[in-house]
Amino acid sequence: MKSSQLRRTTIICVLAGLLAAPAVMAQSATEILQKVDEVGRAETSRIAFSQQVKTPGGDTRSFKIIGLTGDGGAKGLSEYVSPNQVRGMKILTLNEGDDIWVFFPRTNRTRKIASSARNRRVQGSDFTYDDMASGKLAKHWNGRVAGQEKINGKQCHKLEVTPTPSGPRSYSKAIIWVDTSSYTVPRIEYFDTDGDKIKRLTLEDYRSIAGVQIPHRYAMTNLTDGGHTTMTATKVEVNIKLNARVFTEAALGR
Amino acid sequence: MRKQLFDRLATALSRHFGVFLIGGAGLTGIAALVLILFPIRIETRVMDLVPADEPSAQEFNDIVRQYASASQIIVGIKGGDRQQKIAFARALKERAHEATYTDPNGQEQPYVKRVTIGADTDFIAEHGLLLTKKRDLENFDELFADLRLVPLLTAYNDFFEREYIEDSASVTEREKEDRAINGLKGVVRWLEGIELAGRGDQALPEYVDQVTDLLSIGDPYIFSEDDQLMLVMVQPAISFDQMEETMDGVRALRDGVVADILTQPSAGGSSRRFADLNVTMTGMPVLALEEGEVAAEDMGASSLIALVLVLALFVLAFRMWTAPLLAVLNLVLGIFWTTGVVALVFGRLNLLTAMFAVILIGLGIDFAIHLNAAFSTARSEGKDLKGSLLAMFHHAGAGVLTGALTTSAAFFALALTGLDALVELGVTLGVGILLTLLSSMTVLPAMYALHVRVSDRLFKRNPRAPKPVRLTFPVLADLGALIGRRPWLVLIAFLLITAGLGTAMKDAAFQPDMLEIEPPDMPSVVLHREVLERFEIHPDYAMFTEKELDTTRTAVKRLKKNRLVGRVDAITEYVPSVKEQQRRLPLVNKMGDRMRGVITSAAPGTPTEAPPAVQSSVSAAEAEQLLSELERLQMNVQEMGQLAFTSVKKRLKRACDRLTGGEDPRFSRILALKNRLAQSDTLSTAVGTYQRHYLPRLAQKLARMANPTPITVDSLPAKIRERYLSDEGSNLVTIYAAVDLWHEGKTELFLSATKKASDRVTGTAVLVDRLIALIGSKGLMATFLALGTVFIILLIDFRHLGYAVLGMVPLLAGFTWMMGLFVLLGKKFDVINVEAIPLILGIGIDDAVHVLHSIRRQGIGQLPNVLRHTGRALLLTSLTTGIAFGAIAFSAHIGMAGMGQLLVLGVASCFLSSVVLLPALMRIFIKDKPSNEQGGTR
Repeated sequence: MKSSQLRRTTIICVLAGLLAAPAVMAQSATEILQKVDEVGRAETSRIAFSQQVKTPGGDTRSFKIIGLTGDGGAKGLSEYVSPNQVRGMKILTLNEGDDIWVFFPRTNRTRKIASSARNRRVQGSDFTYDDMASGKLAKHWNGRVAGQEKINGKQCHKLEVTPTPSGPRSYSKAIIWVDTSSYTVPRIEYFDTDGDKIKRLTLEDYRSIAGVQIPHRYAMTNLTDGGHTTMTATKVEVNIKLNARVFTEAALGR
Repeated sequence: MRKQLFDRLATALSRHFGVFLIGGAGLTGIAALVLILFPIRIETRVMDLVPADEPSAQEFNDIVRQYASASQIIVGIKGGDRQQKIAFARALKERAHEATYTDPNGQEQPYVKRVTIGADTDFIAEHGLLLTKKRDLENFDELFADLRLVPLLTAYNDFFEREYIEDSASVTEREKEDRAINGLKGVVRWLEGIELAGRGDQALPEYVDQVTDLLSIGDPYIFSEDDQLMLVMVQPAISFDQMEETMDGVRALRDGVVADILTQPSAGGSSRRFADLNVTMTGMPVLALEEGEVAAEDMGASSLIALVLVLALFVLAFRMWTAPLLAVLNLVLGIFWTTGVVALVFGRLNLLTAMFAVILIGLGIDFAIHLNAAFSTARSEGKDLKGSLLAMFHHAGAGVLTGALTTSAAFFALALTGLDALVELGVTLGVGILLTLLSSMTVLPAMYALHVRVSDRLFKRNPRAPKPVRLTFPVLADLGALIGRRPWLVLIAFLLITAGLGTAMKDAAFQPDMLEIEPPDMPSVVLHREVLERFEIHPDYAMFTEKELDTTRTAVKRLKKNRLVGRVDAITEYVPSVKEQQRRLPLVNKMGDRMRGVITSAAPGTPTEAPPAVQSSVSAAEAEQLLSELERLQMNVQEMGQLAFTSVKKRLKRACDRLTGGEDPRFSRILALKNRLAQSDTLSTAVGTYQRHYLPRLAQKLARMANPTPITVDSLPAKIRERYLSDEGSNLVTIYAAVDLWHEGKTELFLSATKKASDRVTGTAVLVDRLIALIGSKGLMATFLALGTVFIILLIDFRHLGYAVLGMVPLLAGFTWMMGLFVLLGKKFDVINVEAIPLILGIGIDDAVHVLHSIRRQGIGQLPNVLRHTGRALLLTSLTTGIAFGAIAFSAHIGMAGMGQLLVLGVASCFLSSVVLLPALMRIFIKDKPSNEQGGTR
């Protein structure tokens, strides 16, 4: 091989290698979301949190709630602890939010919530039943990596994602920021069907509880009307033993 | 040159003072003629401050001209019971034509075009079902499948569970919340009719008529959810831009018709028929009238109080009567001439210029104080008239002239902002100062001359020596001595306080809510607030026009999704699209056929009977089921109340609690009814009798609502078309906010939502937002212009950069004190009071100018002497100015009062900084060498 030929071949190989490298090294959005699901996955959890709802009119309501999740987040049960007006009221979500029941202690009755409510607000908060339904991000969203950005000083993947058929029905698109080192999610922005940005979820104060990354503060802001809901975890337990019967309609009134 | 001018003026005045007096009288005559030919208007709406060439203002005025509904009047009826309120509303509807205005030809014309005492019930009664969404029609179809009492109550319970509990999340939608409130109210009132039927009450037919309305078309009247407040809409016959006629008409409606109905005797004649009612009005025309009345009252009262107090201080300080009276006369002349110029140039006084007279009193009296002091002193020294006038001009003329020119130049600089409101303020005050100066330099000395001549004749050339000024303030001389000894100490102490107050400025807040700056007790403002509280409808609104109905429909649908939007008023609410009507038609026909099948006549107003199947007594089992369904209703409403609580739906929560007793079921209206019915021996008969009464009426009304005739714009009643359609065929959409728009950045979100619906959106919310932006940017510009103008005049006056800079320091320090103190007092800036900021720069500089001149003339070593004389004169003038501004500070109008408070603080702060900070600075930086400057008394 002549030296010029050898040189040309070497250059071509180097260029090809350079071009191929990102494809080999870069993660897809789905892979990143799977990693997020992994670091945040808890088979069961029990979280005591306080919720503050601020309406567009500036009225506020504060609640203390105990939330249980099972089956890796597919099942959820929230019970209002205070104030008195709603103490004992429970919301049971099964099948990742497809089935919802509400129990009213004052009348001792349980009501099934219409499935059309999935994209509606949970008890006047800025979260929809879709938002509250735990589950795997990788299952409900897919899309592309749009680049990297710093959020709160930390380097993050910026993912532009759209809902999968099993995903939330309230949104046409979302942007999810994923910390490149911890694979936690500091921020999600949601877009409506007209393509307008309508809500922003911020997740802060991540702590590792039994090896699971759990945010201790969620804040959902409605960007169209100024409504704001924050949830602050006060006690978190994960992968604890929970009786499966807790997540049944029959158990709600007990 | 100035000296020559003063010499000539003094000579002319001493020889021909009569000519000056006649000249003054002539100017006054011209001003009077101008005011007769061009009467001045008082336009004190905040909206009037928005420049007329603003696109949103032009669009607003176009809409107001084209749609009389845009300037609708809302009548609020409170007190008494529901029936009394309805009776008053009917009386108002009957007599509204008596409210008239005088047109430009002198003819009396009716002001009111239409009074709407409820929703457009006639149209809804005719086409209600075709106007109902398909999903709701499906609900109605199930709900009204069987109109007998127990099946219907069971269906209602099913409906409440399905719609408001199992689909509770949707109650966050405004319309659904309204329907829930009305539905609950209607069902409970309907059930309470069982007792009337059981008693064989004579009122049953009328009661049945009302409750069947509630169950079919909803509440035909506009009541708050607790029935405490009823609203009646009055549509004027003329548009709001015919301001004078509108004010005439509103006055006639309020003080004539409404007041007269309220004083009507009862049927027996022993008491008033509507003694328990309290009726007030609001809406743009009413707010404008009441704002004008308050402003006129404030203006008159403030001016009078200011004049009296200033006169009293003058008398107290100089211990004489004639000079103060002549000074007041001089002020009146200056104000009168200025009013003539304002009438000729602008034709109106706005919210900012309305108080110009009081500001002129505060500033203009200073001229007379200085001139009188110098003139009296010269006379007491035995000088003749000419000598006294010469001494007056030489000692006081320069100071007065420089002060007046500086202040007026700073005011005129406001005109360079280009914002109409500021231009009018700057020109009005600038001209006012110049005209008061003119009167002070010509007519006032002429009056002094006349007085001297008269008293010379009376007292045979033995003039009475004026008494010395009583108010001497020796503390000022002590202050001068302290500054002379310890200038650094005084400087550091002053700067520390200034820094502290400067830090306080960072907490300055702006009040964007126009209602908050209105007089808080004004009836229209009170009603405005109640409407927001009880109906969750904010009085400020956005509006736009559209050509195409489909575009309007899309915009309305989108707007209703936003929780900030309380109500969208558009013609499309009465004209569903053809496609929607076609989708609804089969269900409308089905329901119509069913209803017509159960009655003998579907024609409204004709007698009809219940079918034989509806028995006049129900079985014991059915009666038992009724009681059990009432318990179920209690539980449903309780659950709705809990959901309303978590969803922060206050109105629905209140409505539920009123029916269930809230936390304490012992107060439940539903359970109380159930218990009474359970104890009744005749329950079965009562239920049977009741359902035979209401069932045919309800079926008849539902049959009427099931009119299958397609609805088109042309088939709409004229009163609806006129409200929404212009002659050119555009349709008007009005959007009311559900929240207090002016807090926590809601304006931006609300306007962003409305601008997505139309880029030509206007309305009070848009205009106020624009005004705030303009006042912010132009106000800042005005402040810098005033500062620049003052600096240039100081440069011209002193011809020395150092002195010009020194003159600015106390002004800026005083400005910082004023702002800091205002914030520390817990006050907020607003679109009105913020105008005091550039004004104080023009007013406050005077003190520094006089101190600078005095120290230059006498030498820095003479500080005690400077402060004893100049300081005293400045204290006197600051007191007079402060008293005048203090009169504004007590205005009923919060915005104007704030302006007065800021000006008082500004005058006091600039006085302090000029007699403390400036001498300390000069003591430190200036060598002790008096200049050869001649000057004023101060």
